[in-house]
Amino acid sequence: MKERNVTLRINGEAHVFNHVPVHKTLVQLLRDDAGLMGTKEGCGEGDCGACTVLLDGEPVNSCLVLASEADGKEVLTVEGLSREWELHPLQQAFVEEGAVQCGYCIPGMLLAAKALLDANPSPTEAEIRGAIAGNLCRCTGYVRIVQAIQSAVASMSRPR
Amino acid sequence: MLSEFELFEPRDLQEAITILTELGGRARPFAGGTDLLVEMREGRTRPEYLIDIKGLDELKGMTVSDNGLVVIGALTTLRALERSATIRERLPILYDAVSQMGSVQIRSRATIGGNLCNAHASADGTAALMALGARLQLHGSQGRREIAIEDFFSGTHKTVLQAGEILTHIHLSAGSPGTGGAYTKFTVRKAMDAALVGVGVFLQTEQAGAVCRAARIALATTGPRPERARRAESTLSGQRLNDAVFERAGEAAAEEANVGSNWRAPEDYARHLVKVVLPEVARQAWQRAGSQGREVS
Repeated sequence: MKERNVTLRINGEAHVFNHVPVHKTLVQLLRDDAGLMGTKEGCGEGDCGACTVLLDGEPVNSCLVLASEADGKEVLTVEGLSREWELHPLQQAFVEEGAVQCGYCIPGMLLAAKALLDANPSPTEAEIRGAIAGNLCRCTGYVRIVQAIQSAVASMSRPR
Repeated sequence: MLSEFELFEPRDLQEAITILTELGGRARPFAGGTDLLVEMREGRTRPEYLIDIKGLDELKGMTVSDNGLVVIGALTTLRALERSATIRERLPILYDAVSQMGSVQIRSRATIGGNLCNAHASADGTAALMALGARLQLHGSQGRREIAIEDFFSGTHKTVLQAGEILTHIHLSAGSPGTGGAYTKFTVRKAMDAALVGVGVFLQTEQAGAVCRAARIALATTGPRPERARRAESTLSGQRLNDAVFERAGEAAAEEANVGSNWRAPEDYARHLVKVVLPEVARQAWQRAGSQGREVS
């Protein structure tokens, strides 16, 4: 086949895309067809992590996943992190800790961090650094980003 | 942008073999895609057909039999191996290798079979499996065959797979008492880097770990493909283990390694790294051999 229909859930909503060319990548589908511009395409080769989304809960480089491979799966992008106008604790912490400069890497950084905290709610600094090793930031370095993730860990573990 | 291709999504092994046999060199099996899609994007390969084999459920996951035979499906992701308690506890050498490959994002997609079939000289998972003495199950239109992992590679990025043949499973033995292995990749960066050299050591010991019965040593990145260091292995076999013995093994491996200069490391540096890294790895393997023995006794 040269094209196929792709049925998937994006941020909890069901979507059907018809006649998707099979050489289209997931990041292209998200941006061009679903209109979700939060996910960035950086290197396009799986080095920079800017295109990180969660595919059935696992962090993946959406530039190295064909749209067809996401058929039947659940995708979480940065747009699905906040609820209404309430930021996800990770997003809130990134803002408060000044972890964001140009912002290009941040959607991928947030989703890599979310995947870590979903599996391991109290990671060590080394585990945090390991989890975001595939996400490059060329502005701040990683100190404030790591601090923001640690701060989110603290706020998420506090009883509400 | 990827160039255009036609996609097939076979539902079982036989269908995949039929399609691949028919299409020959114009088709590429497509597993995790973390190497293949990058090669396509860079224009280094331009297949007319991709055969997405991820629908072949029989090639996924891992089983351990009572007799200690471990069967790993070729489509098992590096991440699944990294997370497996069995791998951590019984085959830590494989954990050493897969947990250091690429990023979490890459490991979530990349498969152990893909790592073998791409036949990179720097393939950490391949070198660890070689030290473990893995045997590979290949299925093709002519039926099934099993080969030793050393015989799988015919050059850099080249394997002995025939057109239409698919690597389906990897067979190895779970660590038994008195055995232990370790793998170290020596890199410039702490993550997201290919090894300057990778060294895997697997020891079978006796007399409560004091003596080496047999050893397997595998090197990655040094030569055109992962390779065994058999002379270094023979310096260990039958020896009472100690630091001096490990250092001699390092010297033997540095001498015999099929090293060519590459942009990662000039030849003399690569040999030096083998010489100094190997004894460290061997000591760790020895410790693990001891701890496994103690658990059982």
